[in-house]
Amino acid sequence: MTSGFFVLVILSQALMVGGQIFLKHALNSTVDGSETSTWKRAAPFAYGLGLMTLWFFLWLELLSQVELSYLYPFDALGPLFMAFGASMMLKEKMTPRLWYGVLLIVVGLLIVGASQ
Amino acid sequence: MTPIQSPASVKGALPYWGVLCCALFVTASVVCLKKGVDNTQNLLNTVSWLEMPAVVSGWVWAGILCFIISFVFWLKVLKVLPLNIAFNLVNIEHVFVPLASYLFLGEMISPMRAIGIAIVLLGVWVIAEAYCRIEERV
Repeated sequence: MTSGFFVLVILSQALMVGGQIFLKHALNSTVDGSETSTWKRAAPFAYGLGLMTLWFFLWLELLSQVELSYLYPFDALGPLFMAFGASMMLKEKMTPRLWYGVLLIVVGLLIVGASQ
Repeated sequence: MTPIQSPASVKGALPYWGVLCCALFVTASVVCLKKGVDNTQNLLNTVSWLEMPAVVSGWVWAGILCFIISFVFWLKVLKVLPLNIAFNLVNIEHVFVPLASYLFLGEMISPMRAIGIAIVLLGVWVIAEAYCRIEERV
């Protein structure tokens, strides 16, 4: 597979994670029910929905190019970005466990990637 | 989408069935989507965006529907199960999806691919703890 394919796969999962974070943000702020919060909530909700839509079309395009059992394992990049990326951004200490997990997923995906 | 409710509303074994249904609907969703895009090859080249809804295969709509159903199950599950358990359980979809690809799409899973998938799944379980901690903070 071309490197372009992998770039698109990574991009699609990044969109997915971004979308999820925005949506979560929008839903979380529902709890404090102040009167201005409706509009404050609308923006992250729209961003989240927009990113999810982009993810969906990109995912369809990728799905039309390769076999499902080949593409689906790359879905695990989502939790990986979430755990790894957010750990970095929230300046959390990286546990050895997280490194092992990231390593396992990357190695697994490389093997899947080579299996076509 | 209501905020988290008290776990007092647990009904029997619902959470575990819910997780299973969620994983199964996700699997059904991606299988339908795959069938759909295979039926509508070269979609982007041949039609304009306005004509798209009429041309898109029913499989795609079925896939979207299954995706929404799985999402509803997921939200229901999260009301009663802690995320770390639900997340670990729902990742059996990484087993279901290749299995369904083999059964319904006629894909051959080479031993190499199976090993890769197994390692990925292991990795997902290892990061689950970190993932859930982050998910709850974001």
